[in-house]
Amino acid sequence: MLLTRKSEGHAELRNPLARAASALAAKTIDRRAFLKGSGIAAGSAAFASQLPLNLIGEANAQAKAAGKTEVKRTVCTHCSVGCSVDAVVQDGVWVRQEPVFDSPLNLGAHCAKGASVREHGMVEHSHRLKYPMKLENGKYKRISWDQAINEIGDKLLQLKKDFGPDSTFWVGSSKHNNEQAYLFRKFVSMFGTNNMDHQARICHSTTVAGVANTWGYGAMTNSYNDLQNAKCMFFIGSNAAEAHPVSMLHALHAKETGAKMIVADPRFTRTASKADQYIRFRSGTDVALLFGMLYHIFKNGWEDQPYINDRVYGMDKVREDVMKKWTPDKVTEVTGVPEAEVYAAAETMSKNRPSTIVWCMGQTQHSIGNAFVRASCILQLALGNIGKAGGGANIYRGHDNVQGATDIGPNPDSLPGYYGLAAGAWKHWCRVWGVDYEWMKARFPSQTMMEKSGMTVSRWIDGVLEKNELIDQDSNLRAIIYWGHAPNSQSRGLEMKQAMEKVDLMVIVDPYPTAASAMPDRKDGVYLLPAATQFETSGSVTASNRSIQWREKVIEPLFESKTDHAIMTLFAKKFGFEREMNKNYKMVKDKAGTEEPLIEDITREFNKGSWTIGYTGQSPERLKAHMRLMQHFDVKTLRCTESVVDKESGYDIKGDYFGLPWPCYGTPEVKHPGSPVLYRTDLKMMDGGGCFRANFGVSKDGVNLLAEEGSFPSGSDITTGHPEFDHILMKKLGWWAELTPEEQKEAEGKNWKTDLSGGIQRVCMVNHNTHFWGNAKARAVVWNFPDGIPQHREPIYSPRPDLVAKYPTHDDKKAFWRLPTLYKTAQQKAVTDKVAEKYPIVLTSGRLVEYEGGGDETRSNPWLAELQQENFVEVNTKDAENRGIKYWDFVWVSTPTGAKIKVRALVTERVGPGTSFIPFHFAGWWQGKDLLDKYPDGSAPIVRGEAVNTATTYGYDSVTMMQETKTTLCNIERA
Amino acid sequence: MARMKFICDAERCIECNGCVTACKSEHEVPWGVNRRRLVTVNDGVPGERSISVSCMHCSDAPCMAVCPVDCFYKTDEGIVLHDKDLCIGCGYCFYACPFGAPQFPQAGAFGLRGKMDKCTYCSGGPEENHSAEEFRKYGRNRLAEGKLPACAEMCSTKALLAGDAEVITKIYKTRVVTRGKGEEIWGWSMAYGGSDKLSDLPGGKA
Amino acid sequence: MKFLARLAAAGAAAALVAACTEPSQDPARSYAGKEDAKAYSGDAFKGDKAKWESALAARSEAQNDYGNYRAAGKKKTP
Repeated sequence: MLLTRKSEGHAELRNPLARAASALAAKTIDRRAFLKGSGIAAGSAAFASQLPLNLIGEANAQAKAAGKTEVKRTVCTHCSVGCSVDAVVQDGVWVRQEPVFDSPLNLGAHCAKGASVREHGMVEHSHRLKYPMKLENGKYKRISWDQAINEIGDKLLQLKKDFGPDSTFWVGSSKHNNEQAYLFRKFVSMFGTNNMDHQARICHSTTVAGVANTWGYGAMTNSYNDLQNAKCMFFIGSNAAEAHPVSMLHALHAKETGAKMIVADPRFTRTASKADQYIRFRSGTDVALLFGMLYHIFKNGWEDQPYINDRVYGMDKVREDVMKKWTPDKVTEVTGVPEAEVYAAAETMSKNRPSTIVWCMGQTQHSIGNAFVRASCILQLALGNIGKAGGGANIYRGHDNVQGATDIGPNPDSLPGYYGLAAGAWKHWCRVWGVDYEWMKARFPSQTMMEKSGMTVSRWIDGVLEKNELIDQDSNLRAIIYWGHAPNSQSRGLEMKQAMEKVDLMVIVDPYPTAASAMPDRKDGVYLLPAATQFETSGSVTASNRSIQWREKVIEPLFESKTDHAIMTLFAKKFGFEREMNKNYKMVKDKAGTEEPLIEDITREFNKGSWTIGYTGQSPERLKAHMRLMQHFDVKTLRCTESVVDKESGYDIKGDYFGLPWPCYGTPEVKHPGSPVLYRTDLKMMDGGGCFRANFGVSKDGVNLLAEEGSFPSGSDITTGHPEFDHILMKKLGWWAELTPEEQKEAEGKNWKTDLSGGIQRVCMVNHNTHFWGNAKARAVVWNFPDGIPQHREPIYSPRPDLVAKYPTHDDKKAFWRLPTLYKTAQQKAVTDKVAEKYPIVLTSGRLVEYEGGGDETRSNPWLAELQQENFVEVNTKDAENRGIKYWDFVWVSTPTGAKIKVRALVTERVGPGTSFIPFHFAGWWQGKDLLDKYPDGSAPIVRGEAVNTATTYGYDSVTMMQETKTTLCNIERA
Repeated sequence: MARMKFICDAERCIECNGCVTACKSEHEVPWGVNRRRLVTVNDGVPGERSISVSCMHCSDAPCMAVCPVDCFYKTDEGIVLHDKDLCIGCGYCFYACPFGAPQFPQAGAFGLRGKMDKCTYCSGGPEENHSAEEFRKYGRNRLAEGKLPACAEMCSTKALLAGDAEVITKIYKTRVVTRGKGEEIWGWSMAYGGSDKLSDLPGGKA
Repeated sequence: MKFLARLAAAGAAAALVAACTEPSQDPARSYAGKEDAKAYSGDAFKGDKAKWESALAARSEAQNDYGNYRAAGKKKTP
């Protein structure tokens, strides 16, 4: 037998749950009174939607008899897989949740987080922030919404007057739904600054930049479901079994049907335990490993030469670089991986095509994360895997709506839809918003500041602390607004605390007070505003695979909380631009009588403007029909192939892909089906086909950048590469006449991105099967990046000073996202100070399955909290032995910043000697001390612990300011 | 006659604790009482496997045999349940159980054992179906709603299967045949007799 | 009512046991507690065991990612 009881003891030791059960006298949490009596009726209604037809009638009759029992279909608010949940609501109380077997994404499956979402609706024993609060004399005091909005508003207006709008920093959220994320961008723009950001910065910003610059869009090219079509899956820097557990349903299904699975990671993760091949490599050496594989691919002629010829620019230059620099000895020297293992992985990927690559934070959170992700893209381009079902770059996003917030939300460098910040972009969105461009410009201190990218959430602390003469804006930051974002997910905690204490004003808008309420030692100047969760409003959410799902409102906002769009409206009124902001929306009132925009109207507005990424076809009506009819979409293709008419809207979903994965081009009426696999030339445009984007010119140094003759989306009237479409090209080709007179009027002088009629897109794709964004080659060489060809550079805090000499980091940057940024100076100082000797263990961080993000919400959920009650560091058996550390001892983890954090020691072989790992979800302790009494009463999370980011170090990606949290150094000692 | 059983597919279980929280949330099981839990062997090294364990509802249940007050009974579907009104919290069943299923919540100030609690296969107990009493003592009765245990229905990778033995061994067989390995069903022989090998079970031959 | 349900169920169970070749695995042990109602005796199935069993069987299929539970669902919706 594979598993014996003998091993159980070992397992119990390792499983904090088992330990908790035996160690602590089982303290019971009271059962909730209102639940006790509510079992019967709730049950009957819940199975109505899932019973065989012959029983539905009866069940409905029962539901009627029981009174107000409803089933609301929503989507889990934790990770980006997008698992559907049927919430059973009785008399306004969320009493149960049922699996939605009909969902093609999760087929009813849930991880620990998804299976516990009902707990959001609990009122008794709730750890939510219940009403607005204000810090007075070091204590949080309850205040009214009116007082809160007035005091905060007055202060912000004063700061704006005295120091300019750029003296504020607004951290928005990947937890917002699409509508709120979009409105947040608009709201902060109207306040007059680009100083805003959200979790994507510290999640996949390097991916978005690196991948978009390679071939067009910076998103996951295929889908979780599409893994079922792969013959080989290569996970590098992704622990999907913990971070995206339900995606493993598709991965393990694929594996059963014969797909090979390779996992490369410094840790032997739970994902690795399922792999056919596991590669342990040194943290921060992904370029060397990937190019080491590419070396064998080129050497053995495994690359897809016709594909490269037709669709890839610069592969010859990459090849030259790889063959010269990444010979097996060099690869082993840098990564620590023997040649045979690298060869085996390259061979498996090559001989089992289509093969897919999966990556996550393990690749992105590095000072050269932008190079890592491009090396991954190049590997896939060399193998001809992009634009193929079963292939692709499957980039697993983090939060439930981090993809959507990246696409149309609060980004410091772009308006919704990646339009950027140039005057043309502002003019485009002003037209959509129905506001005058000159009015908009006057909201900002100047046109320069209006078009200059703001600071990033990873660096806002430097916006406060940096010398004024060194920053690229007038004033330092004097106010920080955390709106749905934990602070403990950002690095350099020691300095963050200083920054929090230095600003004039801190505002936290969140369902939970978050660690930001307890971190700083302040007496006043902190406000907490209770926001509703996504179960307390409706709206759309974009999963990692770009499918958009619609959440129904499950319950009313709890306590005194308000929806994010209601809070934005309150502030907009105070700031005096509410009329402009909400101009296109019907206003409705919440239960407390507060006005908020109708969610559907916000959807329709971004539909009207987001032409670049095809957020235009997903009308609320289409999305809602998909949610009601999800059982008709195929699991492997996500497509509905039969005619099914939604009773409520009369809409026929035939031909659609589930959730209309963006790009869903054109207006909703054009009925583009969405694009589950990007850049697929074997499909027609109206079947979700496409090609690489022509976004970088037509030639570079005399080399053609457009696709070669014969490479085009199936059925295209143009059978070779071509540039993007505008009104001039339409006329030249004689296609202009195919636009309606109304479309012509709107499209005159416009291109496919700015034509609000959608006529250019419609005529190109419907009439001519042609991609209006052009048809070009992907770029293996991204010449506008610091390293056109990805280069290995040692992390800022490298465990190998000998290799720093060989592979040094970049030069320092003077004004980078408005801030001076250190590379060589910081790295050299670490070498000179012999940091690697004093702190000899690599420290990396990541996720646990039970918690999500900063963890305030999940650590407040009793069912999840019970499973992980203390933070810990995974330390290798040898390192522990050398230090006299035993299993679950308390240890001090210290880092070069001078920080010391106290965590338990999980002595394990998961990490190799010289590497350690700490999950990043914990907060509420500060260098050994529990901050419980600093939280507002009753709102501290159940589980508190030391935040790893209290101790993390300096280091930022050279394109996007991603923090380097996956490789730094530490020492570990017994406490 | 339907025989309700559990199968946990070790090739699929990813130790995500979805089953554990599904159970906790559905039945409001207090902290420290774990009707279901994860067991991992070879943690952190090749060969690592996890298994979700609860009461297996054994064919010849040792708990029933040792109970001094005869509080256990078995339903027509083979589900082992007990009457908490009779249970004296002696703990014999805990020592008899090969799976460590019986749980004893703390009751009273002196740490005396409370009444035993364990997995009910989401089928309540000897109180009126769907009554408040049943929920308070045993949790929800999904079976009476025509649903299967929450843990299995919500399993993230469909590793944990629940239902009629014939139906779920058939589902399991499809996987084993497809992947060509992993035919051992953890705990099967201990709970239900016979063999742990699928191919030895009735209908299990490929 | 509880008594009636029990009576009906006992009859159904006896018939099924007779039809089944599997030997009874129930230990010969007395049970001293309260009698439990059958799972199918409640409002949802009103004692119709066959209907209850078919509901559970359909539900079991949802655990099979090689099966056609969702496809079967398609045909149900007009």
